[in-house]
Amino acid sequence: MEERLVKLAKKGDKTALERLLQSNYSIVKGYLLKMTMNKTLTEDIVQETMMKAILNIKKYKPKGKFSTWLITIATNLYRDKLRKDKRIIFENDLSYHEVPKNLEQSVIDKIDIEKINKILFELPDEKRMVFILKHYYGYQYKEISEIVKCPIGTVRSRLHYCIKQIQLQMEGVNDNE
Amino acid sequence: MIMSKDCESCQKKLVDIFYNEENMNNEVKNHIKTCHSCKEFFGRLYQMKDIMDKAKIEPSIEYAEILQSFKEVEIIKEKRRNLFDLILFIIISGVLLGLVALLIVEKYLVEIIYFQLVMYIIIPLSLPVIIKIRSLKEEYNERY
Repeated sequence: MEERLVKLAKKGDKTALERLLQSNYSIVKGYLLKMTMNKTLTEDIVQETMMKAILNIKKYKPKGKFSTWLITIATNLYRDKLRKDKRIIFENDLSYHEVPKNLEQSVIDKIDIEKINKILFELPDEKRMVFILKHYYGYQYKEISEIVKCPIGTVRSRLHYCIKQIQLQMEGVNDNE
Repeated sequence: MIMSKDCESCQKKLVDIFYNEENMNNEVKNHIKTCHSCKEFFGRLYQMKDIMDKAKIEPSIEYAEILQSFKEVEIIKEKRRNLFDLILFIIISGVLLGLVALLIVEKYLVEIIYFQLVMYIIIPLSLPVIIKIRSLKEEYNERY
C-alpha cells in the first residue's frame, strides 16, 4: 500500500502524498515532542518537515519505510535548530497523552510522565534520538544508523548508554521515594 | 561496581535481545543462569519498559496543518518561478544590451538609430493589421 502511494506521489499525485503524510504524521510529531519536549518548537519542525517532504518527494529514493525518510528530515531540522539556538526550553506538560480513567490515577501518571520526560531530556541529544527511535518507535539498528548517520555499532553503544543512564536515574528516583 | 567483560558483553546482547535485534542463544542463557547481576539487569529492562511506556505519545493527526504545508509549498514554488523568470529576463536583456553595445563599438551606431526609427514607424502602422487579425480570430472562435 505504502509503496503504491509513494510511486503515485513521486509522479505528482497530491492526494497520495497527502495520505502518506497523514499516515506518518503521528510518528513524526511524537518523535519530535519526545526530542524537543517543547510544543511550539515541535509544531514548527513538523511543519518544516512536511514542507521539505512535499518539495523533495521527487528526489526521494524508497529504500525503507517512508517514515524513516520523514524522521531523517525532522532529525536534520532539529539539529539545525539546535545549532542556531542551543537553549531549548523544556516544557513538561506536553498534553498529548491519553485521558486517564480517574483523577487519582491521572495525578500519579502525570508525576511519572514528568519524571520520565525529565530523565529523557537530560540525556545527550544524539543519544536520546537513538533511544526514542528504538524504544518508542521500534526502528531497527540499521534504520536508526541511516537516520542519525552513524555506524550500527555506535547506535548500539548509544542505546546501551541511554539504558544504563535511565536505570541509574530510576534507581535515584525510587531511592528518593 | 566493576563489571567483568563477560557481563558487559552479555548485557549488550541482552539489550539486543530485548529490542528484538537478536535471538536468545545458549551462551547468554547459561550466563544469565549463573550471573545474578545480568539476570537482574534483564529484569530491570522490563521494569524500565513498563515505566517508560507511560510517557508514550500519540498525537492526533492535524489535517489542517498538512494542508497548510501544501499551501506554503505552493507559495514557495511560485516565488521560485518568479525568481527564475526574473533571472531569465535579466539574462536576455543583458545579452540584447550587450549586442547593441557591441554594434556601437563596431561603428554601427547610425544603422542602429535608423533601425530604431524604422521600428518606431512600422510598429504603430502594423497595429490596425494586428487588430484586424485578432478580431477575425475572435469572430471565428465565437462562431465555432
